[in-house]
Amino acid sequence: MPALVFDGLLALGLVVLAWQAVAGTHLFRSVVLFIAFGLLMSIAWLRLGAPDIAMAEAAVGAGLTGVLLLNTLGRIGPEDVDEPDPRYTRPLRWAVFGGCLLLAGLIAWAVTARDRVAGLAPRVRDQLGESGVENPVTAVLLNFRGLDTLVEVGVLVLAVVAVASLGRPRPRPETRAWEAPPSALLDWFIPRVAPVAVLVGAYLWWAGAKLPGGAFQGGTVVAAAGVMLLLSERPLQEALAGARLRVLVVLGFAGFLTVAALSQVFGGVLLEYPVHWAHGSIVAIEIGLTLSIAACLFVLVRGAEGVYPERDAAGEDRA
Amino acid sequence: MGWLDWLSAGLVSVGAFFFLAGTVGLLRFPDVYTRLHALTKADNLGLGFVVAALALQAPDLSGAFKLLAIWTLALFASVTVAHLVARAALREGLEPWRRR
Repeated sequence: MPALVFDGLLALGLVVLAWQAVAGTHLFRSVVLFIAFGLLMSIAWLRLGAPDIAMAEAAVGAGLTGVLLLNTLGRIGPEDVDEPDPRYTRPLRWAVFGGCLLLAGLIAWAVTARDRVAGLAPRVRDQLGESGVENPVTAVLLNFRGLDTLVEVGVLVLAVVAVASLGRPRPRPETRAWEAPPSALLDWFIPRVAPVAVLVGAYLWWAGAKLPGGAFQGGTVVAAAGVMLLLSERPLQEALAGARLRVLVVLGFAGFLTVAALSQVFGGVLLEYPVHWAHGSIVAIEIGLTLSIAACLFVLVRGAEGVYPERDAAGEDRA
Repeated sequence: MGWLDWLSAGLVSVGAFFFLAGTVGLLRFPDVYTRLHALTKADNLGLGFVVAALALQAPDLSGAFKLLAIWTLALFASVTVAHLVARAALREGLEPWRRR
């Protein structure tokens, strides 16, 4: 009974937060409510028994996306906001609302059907011994459905390419995003906490084989360390730039693609690891993925600045 | 429930009370600077009580230390963020509230 009350309150909170986040006109309020929504969503995933997704939601959905949105808010002004035509938006909004209700109904029906349908969990459990890892989520992500993850990382690299090709934003007099004067407290905080973040990210990657965790969660925490460094001195920011950064961005996808090609050439089937190589392949892929996801998310937050320092210096790319 | 569970429940309740106090402060205090006081002091104390309650329930000593590390990191982060927010507000020219 207490669990039902808690879940009911959680669901109510999610709906109210989501409605308030899109209903307001004040953009900053919407962004803050969106971040709070992400955190409640993370708790909801925990209640559904999915700690890996809960971690990813808290790190990426609430944390990093929140930083991205706040960063964008600092860069846009009133002239950048379009007012849509109400004649189109009103029926469109009702259509989207109807579609969401339909989707919610389908999901509710699917969840209650769990008693009648076995699902894929027994099959995953049976094959888990041969997958090379003990965490069923990692086994599915990187072994059984490795192709999905490969394409997903490819999409992330594409997003980084798109952001880098947009060029740097034009300087606005009101933007003080990363140009604040140095602060003694930041100088104390960053050297102590950024290494801890890298350590936690590395642990999340390493523990993903047996416990909830994995490359995505670990990579996001390492990206957070990089974002912290953006608040610090110029020389550190220049270390995370140029060819070094571009190699890191591509590393995960390239490594994954290499393993896929090798599996095709030597085994005949794409992304089918030989059983005694399974653990090693997964660890190798995940190292590249963690570093790559960290670099990609870092570029998405910082923007096109620093990806091509030669081009920045020549000043030819202002958007 | 053993006495340890009762103690944990009590500590969590105290922590929840401090979180409530912090939220009331956030809603009722007159300006940014006083609200920062409510958020950093009351909320972190509440978090400390919740962490203490969970540490009592931890399976082993390393689990308890991990929880303590989480509380310490949360303290560091909230201190720094409060400082940055207050500094940004001062640079924007927001005057601290004065009693009329």
